Amino acid sequence: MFWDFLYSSVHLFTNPTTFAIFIFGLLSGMLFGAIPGVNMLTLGAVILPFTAYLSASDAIMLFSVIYCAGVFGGAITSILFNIPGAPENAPTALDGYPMTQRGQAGKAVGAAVLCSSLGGLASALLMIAATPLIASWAVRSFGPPEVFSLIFFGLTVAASVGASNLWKGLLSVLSGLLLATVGSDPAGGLDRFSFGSYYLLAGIAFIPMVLGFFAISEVFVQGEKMVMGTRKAPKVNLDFPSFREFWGLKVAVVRSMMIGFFAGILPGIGAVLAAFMSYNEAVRWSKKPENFGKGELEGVVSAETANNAATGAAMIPLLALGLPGGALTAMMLGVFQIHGMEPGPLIFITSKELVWTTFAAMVFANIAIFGLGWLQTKTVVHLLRVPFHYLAPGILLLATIGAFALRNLVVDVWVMFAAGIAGYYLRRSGYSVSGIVLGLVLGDIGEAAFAKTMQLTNYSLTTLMHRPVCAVLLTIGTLTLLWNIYGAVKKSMVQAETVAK
Amino acid sequence: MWQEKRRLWLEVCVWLAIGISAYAITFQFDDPIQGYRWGATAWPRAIIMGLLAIAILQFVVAMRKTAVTKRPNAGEAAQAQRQTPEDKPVLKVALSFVLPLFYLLLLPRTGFYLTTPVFLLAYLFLLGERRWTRLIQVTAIIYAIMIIVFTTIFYVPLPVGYWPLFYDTNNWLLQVYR
Repeated sequence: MFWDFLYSSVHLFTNPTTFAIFIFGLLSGMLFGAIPGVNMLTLGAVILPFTAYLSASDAIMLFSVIYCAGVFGGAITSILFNIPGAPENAPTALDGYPMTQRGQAGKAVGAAVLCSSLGGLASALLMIAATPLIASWAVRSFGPPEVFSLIFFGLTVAASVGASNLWKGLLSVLSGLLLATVGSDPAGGLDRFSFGSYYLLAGIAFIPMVLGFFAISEVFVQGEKMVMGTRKAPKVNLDFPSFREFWGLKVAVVRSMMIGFFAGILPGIGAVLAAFMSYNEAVRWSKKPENFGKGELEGVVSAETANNAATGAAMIPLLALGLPGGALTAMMLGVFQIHGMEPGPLIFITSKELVWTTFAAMVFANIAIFGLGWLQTKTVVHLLRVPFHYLAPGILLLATIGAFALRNLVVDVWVMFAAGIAGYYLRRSGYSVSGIVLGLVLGDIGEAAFAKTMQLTNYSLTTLMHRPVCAVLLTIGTLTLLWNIYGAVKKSMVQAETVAK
Repeated sequence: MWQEKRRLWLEVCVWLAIGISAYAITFQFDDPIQGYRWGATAWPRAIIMGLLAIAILQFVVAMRKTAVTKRPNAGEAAQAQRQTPEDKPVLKVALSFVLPLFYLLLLPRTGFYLTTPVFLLAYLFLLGERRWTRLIQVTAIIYAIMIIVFTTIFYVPLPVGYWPLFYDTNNWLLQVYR
């Protein structure tokens, strides 16, 4: 194992083509992740056809490096502009953006750099050490009932994050789940909510929705403030978090690494749920949970460590089982297909060089994120000095191109703008666009898992409780939900009594 | 207080409208599925019922809270009235929504390469930039970056329009840029 890694590392740095592709992936992933309005998924979609001219090993390596760098890069726009680069960066904005507004952008970005690097590195090393073992465990232990239970648990957690109150959080998640039902149902392929439209028959494309809910709605919100004269430009600050501050968060970092890694292993769920769950656990275990959402560094650290820890883990089901962990890993399946290959257990034997080149590239990409990320902290933060009325049209244009470039459909751009307008009104009313996106992303997988579960258990919900993982997740999820509802009703009654007095 | 109550009523009505109409539409695809007893409607209907229940619960809790709040006095009502936004900014806010939608409407017809610079100029002007030199400079910089990255380097096939003069002009510009 060590010699395979060493050989691949030497090949990475000594082969000019491979090294150039590595650097391109690193820089472009960070850049596209850091530019508001586009993200690593846009970059992946644009360069996918060009990978036919690369070797399979270089092509997969390129995408894996873009994945590591892009997830980190998405944190930059989350923190500076409240526009997450990808859904897994959404929880980062909850505390990162308030920190920017308080003039602590540098500290937030610096923390994101450190934690992304650490989380990704730990995940990459674990991935190298344990891919075959973990893959076989995941297949044996996690079937459709466990996947459904985890999604149920994750969504109950997400409902309490990002909205102005629990009711709006729950409504946001349920709205996302309802949007995910548009298209064909996973059990019988019946056409639902499509109204005769071929576009809707394939389901609502989630990337234009993500661009609309985050980038476009943010431009509308800030644009309104500028027109009304109420927008305050955030102060630029280049402080890096101190070692003491960072050491104080070591428990959160380790916890988030574990959550990110194990959530990342699960096919289809990956980094998005990892980031939300990690953020929620940080709130749950904090001595001052009321500080979250107002600029708490631990919120940024937890979300960013988890989503980068999920990157290495997401490669495990992809390489070992051929199951993508997210949108970018789903594109990587396309790369395999272009080269006439099929990921699965045999790939470790038939394409050993590809596997180890990818592993080595991810390790060094995460190390490079630390160095380049530190540099980016000192430079990208200056974007805040650019007047927003210069940035806003650029963001709009980038988002338009990003939505159009996916499938060359103007309809996708219309969907993006519709989501932008909806997102604008929802945010003003205190709803959580992150919750909607999470419901949209996990809805299909959750329903498919539920349908398979019902068929496996002969439509008996109680049978789920005989499976230990399901029992634990469903019980905790249900208790959390009921406890949160009880707490919200009680809080409202207490507030009403206080006002009455 | 009455404004708050009106907002709550509006909010619950919107959710009820969405929920009830979505539930009604589920009857269009409630055909049985072989091998899956619960069909295509079980999952969306469960979500809709959850949505309606939470929306009603939210409304009831919020109305209880509002009901025990004192009525605003005349001074507060007058202050609320004074805070009503003026017409001019509201028009500008509305335009900031309408302009991108208008751009999107024109995009497939007049093409990206001709329409985009005009949109950039108009949007910058709407957002408050009045210096003509700055307007032209920023428009040129943003446009140039988009063209270099997406047209020259990545060859992204952006719309060239289909209206007669625009189609030819956009294609000519595309050849020049590449």
